[in-house]
Amino acid sequence: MPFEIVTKRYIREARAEETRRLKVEGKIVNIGTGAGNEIQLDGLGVSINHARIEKKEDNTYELTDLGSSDETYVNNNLVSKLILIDNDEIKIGSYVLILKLPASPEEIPTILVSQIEGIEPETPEDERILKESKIKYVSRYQLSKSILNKTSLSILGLAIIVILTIYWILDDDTEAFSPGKLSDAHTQFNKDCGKCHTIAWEIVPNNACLECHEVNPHKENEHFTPVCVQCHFEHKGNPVLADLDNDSCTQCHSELLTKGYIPSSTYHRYITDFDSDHPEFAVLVRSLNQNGDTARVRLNDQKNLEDKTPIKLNHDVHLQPGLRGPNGPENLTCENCHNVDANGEYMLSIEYESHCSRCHTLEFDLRFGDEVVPHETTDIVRDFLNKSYTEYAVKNSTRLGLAGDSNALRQWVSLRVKESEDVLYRKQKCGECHILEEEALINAGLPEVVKPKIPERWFPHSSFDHELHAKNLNLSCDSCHMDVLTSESTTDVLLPSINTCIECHSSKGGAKTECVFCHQYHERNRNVTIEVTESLEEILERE
Amino acid sequence: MYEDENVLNYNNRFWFKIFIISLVLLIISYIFYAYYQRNPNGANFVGLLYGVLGLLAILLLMYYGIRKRTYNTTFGTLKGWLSFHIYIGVLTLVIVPMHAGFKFGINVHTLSFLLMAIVVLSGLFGTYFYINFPVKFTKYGKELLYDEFDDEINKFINQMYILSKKKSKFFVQKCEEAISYGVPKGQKAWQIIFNIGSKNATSESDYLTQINKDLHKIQESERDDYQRLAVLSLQKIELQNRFLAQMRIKNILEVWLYIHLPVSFAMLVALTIHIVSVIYYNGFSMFIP
Repeated sequence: MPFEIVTKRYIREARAEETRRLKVEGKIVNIGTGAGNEIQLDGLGVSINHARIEKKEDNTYELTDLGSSDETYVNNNLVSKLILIDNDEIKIGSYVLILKLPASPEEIPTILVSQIEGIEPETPEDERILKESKIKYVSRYQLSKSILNKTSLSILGLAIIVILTIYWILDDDTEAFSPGKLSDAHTQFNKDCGKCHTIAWEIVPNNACLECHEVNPHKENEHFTPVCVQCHFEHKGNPVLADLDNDSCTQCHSELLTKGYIPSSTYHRYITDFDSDHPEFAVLVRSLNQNGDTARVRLNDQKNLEDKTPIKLNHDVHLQPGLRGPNGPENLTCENCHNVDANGEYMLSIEYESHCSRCHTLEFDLRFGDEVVPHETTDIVRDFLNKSYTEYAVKNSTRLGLAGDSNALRQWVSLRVKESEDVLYRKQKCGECHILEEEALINAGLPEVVKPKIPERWFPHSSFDHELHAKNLNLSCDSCHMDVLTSESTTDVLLPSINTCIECHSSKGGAKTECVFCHQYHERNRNVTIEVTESLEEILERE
Repeated sequence: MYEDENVLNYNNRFWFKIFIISLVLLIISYIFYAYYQRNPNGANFVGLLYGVLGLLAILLLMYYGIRKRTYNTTFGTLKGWLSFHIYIGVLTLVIVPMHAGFKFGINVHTLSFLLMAIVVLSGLFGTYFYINFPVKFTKYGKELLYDEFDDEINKFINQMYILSKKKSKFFVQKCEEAISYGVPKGQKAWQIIFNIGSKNATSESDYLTQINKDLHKIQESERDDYQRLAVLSLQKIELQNRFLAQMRIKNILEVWLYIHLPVSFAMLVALTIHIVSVIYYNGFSMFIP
């Protein structure tokens, strides 16, 4: 069953109305802007598939809004679905559709389509005025047409950053370009970037550092010498620049080469970490020769590990309870002999006067009571004895029957000196601890006491803090020097092995394992002169 | 192919997978880096590597702006590039702090990162709007086309103007009021976002009531036209309101782009200053491992 669609359209140019007639086959008439619709409308308020008129079985005509985003009105009432009656006025957008139903079902229904009449300009002058006064409404609400559009905002953003940068440069606000805080020692330079950055577009040169820092080379034959800033990163949050990562060291020591890419034959070649592949410690011990020469022997080298220091000491005896002391039995501890330096780091040398003389006294003759010979070389001791006995003989010449007889007096003195020297050198007074050189005795009449020359530092290439370990961590001496309580021989080397340290200094133990924690790349002897531009108060205030 | 494929799950979530793999690799690499490098920072080789990676990512992200405007190319689909743009953009929020060893300060270096973060976050808002835009918009009727709307509103104005011809002074005055009602004098694009200066329902209702009240002041011969004017006025207001509601949403949805794009340029300048200043003070030798 067809529909007849009568469309009335006003042709503006012709100022006349045009009528078109169209027959549509089927029971459904679709309405919308889409090309597939039987009634195609355009303009605002019309959806692509807007509505549908359908002839039902009972010969009624049903209007259905197809869920359009716009609205459908019938006789000015909003509808979604409605059975239409004759002359119902359907309003969609600016269009009015009137359904003319036939008198009998056999006849064709008609849909009159017309646009809501606009009032058209009457004269060309009106048209001109309206054209000129046309309002551009949309652009007033478009962000892209706003003064704050993407282009202007982009220019504004660029300008802010550029102006800010120029301001920083002109204001000499170098902190704005600084990637981070300076190290503690360098905070005094404040904004004086040129102090270190002496050359633009280049890395900080070594001579900028050497202006203040006097350092010695690491090893003359090292494969390459890194520039200072290759290891010491400034502006990176390190309060101390010498506090380095292992990378700085392992860049060479992980596969140690010397100049000319020659593998090192002197040092351990492969070290990457303390608790994984660091070699056993090498201790400094006296060589077999008597020139005081030293050699480094690893603590696991049992064959060569022997301390040849010419001194006699038995730790076991000294640490026995109830040891005979000057005032009766006493118990000695490590601290009686071993004392740390002012920094609390290293043990001070053992001195006879401080550590031994209280028990190991050097009395030489009962005539002199508690008076002792000086702890000096044998010729000084002889001078002392000569002087002491001469004064004694002169003072007691009458009682000794030497009055007026200088030869007898000299002879008497000579005999007493010899007797005392016998006591000192033959009856284990000096020899109890020292090695006496007998050949010297033959030649000069006096023995030569071999100087012990105990090494001040057993591990010369590492640092250690005794006080930190003993006091802060509450470790006893034998926690690390484990064999000391049973050691009976001076040749025992009682230093802790790397395994003792690794118990704590490892990823498992939690204590530091960084190379620089024990080792130094540069020698410590510094002669630093820094031109201070700020007082401490000023620095603190600024910080 | 997903039934509702959008930019996030484009091409079987290809860039999402790349994003996840890259993120995991970056995190693992950083864990190792931070473990072996006690003080991670942007000046060592690995830190610089992250920096170069971040720079490359930023340059590729900015290339999207060019690719978007290049129509005669087959260098990846535009949707693919947008998907890359979103996921790799988020990845820079991880790469750049890794480059800096998660150290920030009050300086141009951190400024460039902050600007980058603003760009990325505004982009994420944009992505959200991009995906949800059609859903939200249907609430306010069919999308009005700009040209169509200007024509439509001018039709009302024209009709009002023609109605006012050869009419009494009072009629003309009422007509001019109707024409200018709700027509902004200047730019209101940003104001409508915050609902500043827009007419509320009460003032509109008062205005329409007043038009009807004024009917009796109109001489008998002009009353029919005046009623037509009242209907036109009502229709014009309805149309304006619908348009304003849509434009407000449209502008709100576009605001992110007015942050994203300008801040991108500012970030690019800050980034350039960052790179130039770093090389100025350290030279190129820092790039040598």
